Amino acid sequence: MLSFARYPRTRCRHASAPVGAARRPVLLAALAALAALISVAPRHAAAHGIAGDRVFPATIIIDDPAVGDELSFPTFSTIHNSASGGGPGSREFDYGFEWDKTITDDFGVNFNAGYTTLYFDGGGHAVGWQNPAFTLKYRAYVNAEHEFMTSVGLVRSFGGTGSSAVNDPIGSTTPTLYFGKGLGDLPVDFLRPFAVTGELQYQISDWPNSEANSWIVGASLQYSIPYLQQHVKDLGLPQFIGRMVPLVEVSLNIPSSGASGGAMTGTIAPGILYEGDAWQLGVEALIPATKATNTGIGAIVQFHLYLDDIFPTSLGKPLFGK
Amino acid sequence: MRRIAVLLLVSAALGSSAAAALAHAFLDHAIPAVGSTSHGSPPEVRLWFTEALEPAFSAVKVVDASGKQVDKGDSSVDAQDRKLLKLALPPLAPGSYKVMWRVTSVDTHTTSGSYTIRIAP
Repeated sequence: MLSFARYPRTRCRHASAPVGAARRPVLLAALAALAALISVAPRHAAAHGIAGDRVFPATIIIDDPAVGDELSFPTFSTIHNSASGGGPGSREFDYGFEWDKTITDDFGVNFNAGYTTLYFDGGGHAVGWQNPAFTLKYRAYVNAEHEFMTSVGLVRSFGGTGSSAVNDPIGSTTPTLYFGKGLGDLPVDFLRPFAVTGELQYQISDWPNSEANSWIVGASLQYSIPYLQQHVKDLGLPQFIGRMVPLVEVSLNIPSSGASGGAMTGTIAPGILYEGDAWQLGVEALIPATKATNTGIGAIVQFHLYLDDIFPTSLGKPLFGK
Repeated sequence: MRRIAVLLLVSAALGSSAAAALAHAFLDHAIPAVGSTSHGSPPEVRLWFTEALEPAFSAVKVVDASGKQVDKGDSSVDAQDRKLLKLALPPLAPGSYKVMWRVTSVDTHTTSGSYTIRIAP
């Protein structure tokens, strides 16, 4: 959901001649680290992300493969950015939202934005809006029998539209392939609740000589207790536990061409999603996956609403179609 | 802090709406239970869902290991409890059977699913 999260920036981390005030290198480094850390994504779709018996939940760090009518609000995260470039570290707080809207059953758009506060270790702070991002997404194929779903998308991040105090000014355009596969066809019952989802992105920078183009690879491994209870074996678990989906998400940003000097950054995010009737609450830790990610351990919390359930005849249905 | 308070208030308001929403119908529990083994053939299968169902668009069937339908074909939503879908069974031989359901909740969303039950002698 959060634009910075999904569209990591590596240029900032090694920018040698940042503009503006003396603290700008720190800000840019913080943004780069944050970008690598957080990428908040959306949810279920076409009235949830359903492929046969499988319901793909709304993962937080990467986007799920579904198209739907959903709202992530708020998404809250915090991390500590390490000192870098001669400047102090900072405690960062981010507040984000994402709105997903279906145009047809299989085609949707989404808009996400975020607000950032940075508290510097030596005192002082900076605040401002992140660059917003807009996504076109098409659900290309669903195989109910094998619990498989894939979508394609195009993400546009509008550089220079957020606050200059906390923002990277460079925009990008990012073709994306999404997929989800439930493992319900495995022969071992207690492995069947597992599912994997992923996204493969190529981020094309507006100014590749300043900020490298990069590959962004994300994946989640999840174990659906609702699936276990509904399709494999009813263990008589308390409802509170029966609605949980433990998972781990991973997102890596790999610079590929353009500006030199970038290093692979990424985040590993273990956590739990709790599935309400028309909403979801997710909590995950944010663990840096590489040394270059340059942050401490953080946390992210997201409240997610399924608008197709809440407003099934108005806001929660496609503009055209059923 | 003020901004956080506003976010929490709006979320709480939306959450209240969500609590009153008509969501997708997912299986809550069943008799015989999902993945269970019964000693002797059960007279019927009963499935309770998380939402009320549209009777005209909700059904369940039971098939044997070869895929042949073996139930009595009288799937129905209970008139008093619209979350309950039921189906009568003839005496079934020991073995493994698949319960397959497809339902539409009162908010018109359709879901489907299946699970296995086993009948022991």
